[in-house]
Amino acid sequence: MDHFKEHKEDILAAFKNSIVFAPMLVSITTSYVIVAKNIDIGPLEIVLWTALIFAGTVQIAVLNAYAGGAGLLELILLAFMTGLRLGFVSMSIFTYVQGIRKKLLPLFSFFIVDPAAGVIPARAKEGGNLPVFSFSFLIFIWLQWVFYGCLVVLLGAFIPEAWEPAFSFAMPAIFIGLTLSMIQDNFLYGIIVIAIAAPISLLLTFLFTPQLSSIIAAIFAALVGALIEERGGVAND
Amino acid sequence: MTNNLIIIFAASAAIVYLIRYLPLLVLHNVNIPRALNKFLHNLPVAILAALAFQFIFLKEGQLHHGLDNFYVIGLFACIFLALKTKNLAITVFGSISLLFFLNYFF
Repeated sequence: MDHFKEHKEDILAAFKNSIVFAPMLVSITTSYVIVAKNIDIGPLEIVLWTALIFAGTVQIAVLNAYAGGAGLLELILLAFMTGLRLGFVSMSIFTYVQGIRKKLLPLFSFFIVDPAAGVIPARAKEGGNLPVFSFSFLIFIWLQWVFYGCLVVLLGAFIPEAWEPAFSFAMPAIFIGLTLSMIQDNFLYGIIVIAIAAPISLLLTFLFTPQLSSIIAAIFAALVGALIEERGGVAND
Repeated sequence: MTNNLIIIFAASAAIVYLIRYLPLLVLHNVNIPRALNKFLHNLPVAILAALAFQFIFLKEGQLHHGLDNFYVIGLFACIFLALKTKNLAITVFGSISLLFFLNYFF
């Protein structure tokens, strides 16, 4: 109880930050539940696998491919490719979560999702206990994920299809909002990174899958941004 | 649910978990050079920008830059709200509301 009182502010901030992702989570769980129901997976299994995998893009991609007749090896490869960006999310937040004890890392890792890449660095600028905030935020996202999974399984048929495009815009809206807040302290270099990552991720889709394109574009943009910043820092010395 | 699906789900869960965990395990408490630190600080910005733009401009894997792509209007609304209000909730719900309006009337 003392722990909670001590970290109440961080936990409340984590909760407030997680609620913003509700439309995005509803949109992704709806897509997953539709695909799962189409291949006759029962409601309990849908919710169970939602809770245990906690990676909407992977779940949707794997189930779609399974429905299309893909073999086990192809599905494993697909899970790896679509989930790979989560590894980059882990890498991008690791400097902020160094305060988490090593024995808690296995548990913490399970909850890592895309929003962490933006919310945790943004919170780092505001202060507070970052490990507590990070852990709380990710757990609240997971709890919502499971809750909406249950809700969509029960009530999904009543969600008008016309709402889906607007709901699903929540994801890029959140990402844009977070990106702009993250670059405020270093606006010029941040804009350079965005200006490189965004068009390259689109152009590369002519050669690669969208997931791989986004990874390559992000690595290249982050590298170029770091190099330019490093040279800018050297020039100013 | 068939045995096949159980194996597929279990394998997917294991792969996704390892993808999340291994970078943290390898990099935990490692002193990293300044340049690499800058790269890792740029990575979230780059990933989020790439994912957001792909979502807005790709439809079923193809570029969708026509006038009927309301997400482009949503993008400008987002940028405006984010820079003006610096509030994530207003940015998200404001742009979603705009898209509800556009989808309903056009």
